[in-house]
Amino acid sequence: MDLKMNQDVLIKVDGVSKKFCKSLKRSLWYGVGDITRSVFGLNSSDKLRRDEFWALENVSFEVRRGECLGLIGHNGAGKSTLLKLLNGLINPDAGSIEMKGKVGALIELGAGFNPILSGRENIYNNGAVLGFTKTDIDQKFDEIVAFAELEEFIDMPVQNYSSGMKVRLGFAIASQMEPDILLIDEVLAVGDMGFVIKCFNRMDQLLQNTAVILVSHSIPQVARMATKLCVFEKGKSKYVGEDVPEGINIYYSKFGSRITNFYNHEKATLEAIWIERPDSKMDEINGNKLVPYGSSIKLKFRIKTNLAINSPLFYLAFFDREQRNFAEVIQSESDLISNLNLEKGKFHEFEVMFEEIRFSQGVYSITLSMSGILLNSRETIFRIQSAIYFQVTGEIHGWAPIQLQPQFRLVN
Amino acid sequence: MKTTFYSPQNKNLLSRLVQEIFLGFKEGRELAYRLFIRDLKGGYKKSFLGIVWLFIPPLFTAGIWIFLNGQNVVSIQGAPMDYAAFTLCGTILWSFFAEALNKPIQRYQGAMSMMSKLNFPREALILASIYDQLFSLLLKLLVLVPILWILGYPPSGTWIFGLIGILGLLITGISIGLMMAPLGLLYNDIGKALPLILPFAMYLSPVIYPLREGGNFLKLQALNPVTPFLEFSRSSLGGYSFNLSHELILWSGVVVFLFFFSLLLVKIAMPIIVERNGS
Repeated sequence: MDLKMNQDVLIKVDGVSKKFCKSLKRSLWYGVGDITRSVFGLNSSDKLRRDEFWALENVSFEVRRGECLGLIGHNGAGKSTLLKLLNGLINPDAGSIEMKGKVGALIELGAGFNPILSGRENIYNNGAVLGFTKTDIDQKFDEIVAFAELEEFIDMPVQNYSSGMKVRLGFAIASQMEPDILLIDEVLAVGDMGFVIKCFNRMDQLLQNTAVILVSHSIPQVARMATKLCVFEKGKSKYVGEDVPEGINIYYSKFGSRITNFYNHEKATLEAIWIERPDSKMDEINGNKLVPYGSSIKLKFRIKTNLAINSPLFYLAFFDREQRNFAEVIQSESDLISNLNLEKGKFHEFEVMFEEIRFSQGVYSITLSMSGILLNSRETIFRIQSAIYFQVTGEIHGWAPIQLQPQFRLVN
Repeated sequence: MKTTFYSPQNKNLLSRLVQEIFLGFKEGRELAYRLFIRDLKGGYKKSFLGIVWLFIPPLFTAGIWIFLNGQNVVSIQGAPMDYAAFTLCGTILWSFFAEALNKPIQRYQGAMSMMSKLNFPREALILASIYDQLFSLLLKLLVLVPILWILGYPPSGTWIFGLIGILGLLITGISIGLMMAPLGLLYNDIGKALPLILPFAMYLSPVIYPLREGGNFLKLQALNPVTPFLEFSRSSLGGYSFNLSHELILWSGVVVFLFFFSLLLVKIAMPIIVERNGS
């Protein structure tokens, strides 16, 4: 803690607000008014004009050297606007921002590239936009090319590069910056796996001595890098603090309950599906059932059969937010309930017990599908994508959806 | 360590703005040069004739006037030098001014997406506009000088004064361009109107006809900032006497003031324009 206090605050955002206008015509007209007022030194009104709204409202936080603040929130929550304010591209309408030291931005990779010029020439173009001198680039040239792995193609026009190659080159140049403050906006979501890992390693080097602000929708990435979190909703910060897992929980719970379509399949209908905890009551935020890490859950569902179905079998698949299917349940014919004969026109309620859900915190969904023997052959009765959602809460958050906590023991 | 503040209250302190503009030019030199080189190379790499295209437009203009002069189709009385040479100087100088006027908006528009994502010294774009114009001047002189020589006006020492007039035209053009840029970047109307207005303005200026001695045109000439600079350049090139010293001094003062004011204007306006242009 003491060590932390010694580190200087590099970014100080105090009560910052920013207005935006929904109508283009009005926005332009207000622009003319704002310019005129600014030139004559008059202060613009801090009230909203017609068609305006607060894109950011009363946002405050501090970031010290060595810290990384993750900005998360839905699309349009104001994250990119805040980055523009921090970068000095636009001015706040209220509040103040204090930035100490050299600011670098990993926002638009490859800005200033001219597609018909070669990679070599464009390294100088992009470098100049980022504030490097020609001598800087001369020195770093080989390193940039090697990092981008483009030795072979460096004299080819950039228009013939693949999009991945352009990004690699852009990142290789931008990552040569040695800023005090680094602003990052969703740039690492591209490139192939090998390069992404390389980027992360480079980022880790930069992070140590920098105050970083990271905007991303990839929660695993934020969880990996951020030491602090700011959760945005509709321009307001709903959470600012160092408890990253708590912030991520708040973010996930903002997604609220989804409407799942219960299709009336001709053979059978899924009437209801829900989750219970065997030992206690189920908590809920915004319609999301909360499952604490390590607790057990019962998945229950009720089916109405429209035909007689023999030996039903169920298939369950777990999906995370990124729609990765990471776990599944395949019921085999030897299972007990597979000898059942479900009568036509009746309700049948099933229960599946899951012991100790050891998932990383986040929102998950379960896809349910059912098959059964109709007449003589096995057929799919229905398949319902994301039939139910639930949210795992707790301290544990990592890249992988499944987080194990085995016992470690010194044996020798 | 350099500390930057952003707040609605202090953004318009004159001393701070002046300091930032000065720093912007200082730090933006390298970028301006890169942008200039980039667009120069980029503009001609994808063509067979390459940089030959740079010489074709002024040669064409010159050719037309020499041809028309030879045919005695156009004959305007009272030109203080050979009419072909007179008109050629006039049109080339005017086109230099008109290009300078259009340049800042073009530069800003070309860099708009970059400006809405990254912070770089915006003054680099102004500097790049000036580089563009200096290069354009070089090309124009490469055509103008030999033709003037052929028409009987060999280079002389007084041509140095011609360059001073040209500098005046450059600053006048850039300043007017910068003054219009904030509005022109918000509304496309400016961009649409300029190509209509500029030729009209050319015919109202003594470009292809000599200065008037009296009448309404005289009044108009007095209100036209281009006239004294253009006449000063052309009289130096053609070796005839220059009678607008009074206007030249007056307009030089006005234009220098206008230039500094326009720098402040774009400095103040640019964040608002970036905000309204989004992306």
